[in-house]
Amino acid sequence: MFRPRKKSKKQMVNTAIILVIAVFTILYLLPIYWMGITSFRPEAKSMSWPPNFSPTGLVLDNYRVVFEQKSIFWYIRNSLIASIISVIFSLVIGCIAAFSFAFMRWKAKTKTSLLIWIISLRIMPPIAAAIPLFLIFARLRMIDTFPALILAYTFFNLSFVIWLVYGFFKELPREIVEAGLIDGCSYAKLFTRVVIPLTTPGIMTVTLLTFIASWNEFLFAVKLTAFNTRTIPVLISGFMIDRGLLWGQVSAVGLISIIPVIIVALFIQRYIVSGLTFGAIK
Amino acid sequence: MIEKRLKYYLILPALIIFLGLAIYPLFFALRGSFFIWRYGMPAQFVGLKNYIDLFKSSFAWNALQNTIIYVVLAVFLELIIGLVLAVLMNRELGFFRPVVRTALTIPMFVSPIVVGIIWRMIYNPHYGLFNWLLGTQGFAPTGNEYALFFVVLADVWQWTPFMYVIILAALQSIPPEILEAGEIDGTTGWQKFIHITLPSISYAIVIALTLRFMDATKALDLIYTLTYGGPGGGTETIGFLIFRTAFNDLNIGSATSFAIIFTVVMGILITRFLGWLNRRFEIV
Amino acid sequence: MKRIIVLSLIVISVLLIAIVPAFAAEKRFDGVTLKVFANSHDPMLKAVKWSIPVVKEKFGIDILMDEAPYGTQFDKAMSAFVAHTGQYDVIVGAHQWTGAWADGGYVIPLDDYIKNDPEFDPSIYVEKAYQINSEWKGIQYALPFNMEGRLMFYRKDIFEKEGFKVPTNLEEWLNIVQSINNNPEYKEKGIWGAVYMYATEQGISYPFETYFQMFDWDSVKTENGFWDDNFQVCIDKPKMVEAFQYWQDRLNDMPPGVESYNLPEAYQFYLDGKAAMTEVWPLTLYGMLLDPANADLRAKTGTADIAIGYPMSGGWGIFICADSKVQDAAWEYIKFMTNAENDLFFFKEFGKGPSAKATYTDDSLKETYGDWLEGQSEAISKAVCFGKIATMSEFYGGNYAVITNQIMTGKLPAEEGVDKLIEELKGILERAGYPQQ
Repeated sequence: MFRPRKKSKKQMVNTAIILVIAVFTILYLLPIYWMGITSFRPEAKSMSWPPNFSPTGLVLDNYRVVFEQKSIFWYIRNSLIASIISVIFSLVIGCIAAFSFAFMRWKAKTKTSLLIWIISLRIMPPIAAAIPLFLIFARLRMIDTFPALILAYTFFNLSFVIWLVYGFFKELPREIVEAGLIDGCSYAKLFTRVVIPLTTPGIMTVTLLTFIASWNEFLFAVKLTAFNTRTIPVLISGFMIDRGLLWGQVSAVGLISIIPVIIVALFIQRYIVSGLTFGAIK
Repeated sequence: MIEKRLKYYLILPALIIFLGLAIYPLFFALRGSFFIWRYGMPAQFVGLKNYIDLFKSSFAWNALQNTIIYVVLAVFLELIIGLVLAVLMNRELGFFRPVVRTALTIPMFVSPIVVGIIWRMIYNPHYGLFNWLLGTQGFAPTGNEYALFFVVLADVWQWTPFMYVIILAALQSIPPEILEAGEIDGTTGWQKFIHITLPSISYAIVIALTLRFMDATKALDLIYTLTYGGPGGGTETIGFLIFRTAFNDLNIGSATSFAIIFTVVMGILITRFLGWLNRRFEIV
Repeated sequence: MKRIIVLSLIVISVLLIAIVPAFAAEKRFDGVTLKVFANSHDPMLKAVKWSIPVVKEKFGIDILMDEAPYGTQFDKAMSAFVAHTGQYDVIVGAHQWTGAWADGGYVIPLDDYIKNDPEFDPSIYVEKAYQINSEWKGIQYALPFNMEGRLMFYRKDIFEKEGFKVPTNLEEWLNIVQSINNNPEYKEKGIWGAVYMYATEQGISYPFETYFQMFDWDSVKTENGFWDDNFQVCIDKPKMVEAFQYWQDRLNDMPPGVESYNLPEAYQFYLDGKAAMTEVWPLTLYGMLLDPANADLRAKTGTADIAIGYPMSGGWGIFICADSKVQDAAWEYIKFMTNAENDLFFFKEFGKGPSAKATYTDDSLKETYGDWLEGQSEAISKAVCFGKIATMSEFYGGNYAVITNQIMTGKLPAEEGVDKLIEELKGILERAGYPQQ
């Protein structure tokens, strides 16, 4: 369709939008920039008036302290173990549960009640569950072990995964699913060949969100870890001392801790492309 | 008949985890709420005293009020901004897109504790960005009666990407045929949006809204580092109050009773809301 | 010939008798793992980290270290104690937690060790430090580790210029503050008389410190002016109302924004040279002033008695957990960490608040610290411990603290607020097991 006038209008609108978004993004990310800059400044200069935006006078002191004294790699390793494994568990268990709810014949009432019960588990303030969960794991002698942390995180994220993935599954056009079933696909094939590829953007989004939730989880990380499994949020909370705040070091740790997440997000970007998947399947 | 059993088998792992780790805490909380129980000391059975005290507690009502303001404001703002961003970013904008797309999600990656610390720096009355942007000096956003609104601001900053990411994924999952159908009919962009795009992503919006709503009511990490409930309880939300009662006071009876009332009320609200949505729009 | 042989045999046997026990002693705790719960407070954390290889070398003890900040350490410890997970042998704890741990039987009394260990000499500690960190109901539960009393920091240069004398009471202090605030020269530079914190966590100290000064300590047998020796509330209401009103009024004399000020903001403000006086925990500010970037300010800073009341005490002791299976090793460890030699070393190297008398009078420190340590020592001798009852955490961070903050910031009028405080305090004492009449 060749409509020159509309096209240039569209281009103008697009340029305007790009500008608006660019300005918004810069303002929106200002606090992140501020955190970054503070991490590269010596502690004594971390706060001054007027706020110093220019990337001058940058030093690596804070990072040196963080790497040498705070053994941040060890914390990153622990966080990675706990987060990645719990994400994998949540995804697998959650996706097959969501698949069941979305594509198999359920009595409407049963399905609705189950789904609502699942989401209601997320309502309980985690603080109230902190002590009993600690007691469960203490009884099982699992305090300060990775399985405890992974189980806890899987538990938290599962209802979230099930609901979101269920939603993405339900949004698939009925015809495609039905066509697959009529063609004699087994459920397994349907799942792997049809459903997952078509809902990849959604599932990847859920993966990212679940990873972030586990990566930044603080309350249970503090309670369930001790000598061997402390994760990054525990390290960060260690800076919240009543005696004073080391702005530079906290910023350094903060910046370092978002890098793995950004890596995961970038990795996921490749899968969130619209339109491509539909054409391929057709 | 494999199918009949299969659907149960598929949800079994999830159910095992839920039942295994949810039942005891629920039972523990329920039982604990009927005792005056200071963790570490013997408990005394007092029936409904904790619940009655809760209704008489000015701290609890204050927390309720703060929570309602916080949640309504934060979730509403996050939804609007997230929706606008998602729609804008869904357009064809060339190379620009992947970079900005990921960039916009970064605030969500940062640990809420760190977010609280950053905003504490920003809100500093004498050295903070906030004062500098406003051109003032000595204004303490978290030191006056309106501290709650500034905490909401920090929350919106952090969680808008949540809405944005979910809505964007939903937008990208809309089969192109549906969108094209709209174009053929010659409808305007705005109409197309309201009648075709929006309904297609309605499920995503509802679920994002519900999830965010539930998380906001329990909000804790941000408040813990930004204001610690201050000034004078001005930013104490239900989540924070329960935390303070359980962690600092070790007052298990009081904390669990509050948690239970909260869970029950929220559970009813959400069930009713989802039920209503389901009847009107067939969401579930 | 025979004599030489006999002599050598005697010498050899004497040597053997001398050396073998030494060997045996060195390996006494070989293979023992000690699980230490340290606090994230930098000086103490560094001291514990330092001790890991040292203790391995000296005693053969392997240390596993867990750390948590003040806000979460108490709860984490209680979780571990109540569930009897036995995950900690030794714990560095704030003195106000003693009651909760001792009453519950989660930490052991040290009296047996103290009596039976000839090596241990309690007189090396500053008496106050020993008692505060931590003795409870006549029994010693911890050895003092980090000891601090609130201290006032002031700008010697400004005082000299204006001809101020170091204030010794409320009136003198207020005169200085207002005089500086009204002085156009300082107004221009943005320098204030004082920056005192009003946020929830630390701001609760000032009104009580002032109250302590007004309180008639002879009127009733009490350690802290809040409750008497029978754990009945004995607050002198009019005096407390007066103290609170004093601080409510002082909001007018403070730089704007102090309602949101906690320690980090106060340190920052003072380090930026914007205040002539502040009252904070001394060790952290000393540490910051020792940073070469602040050398100029450090030369201009003096310390003195807080002047606005009796200073609040802050202290940490090392406790031995009741669930520990290696209590003998734990005792050696806490003795080692708190002995005079290490006390001095930890102060010099890491800035940990000293508890040993020797550190306060050490000559080698006079050069760097001048009379700061003397001021610290005096502050400690006058310091008041707010209390150690089992529910003490509610005092510092529960409704009691929130109400205090509400009065301080003017949200609640002083009279009504103090009434609420007294009600709350009664509840706190009752929950700790002391029924109120």
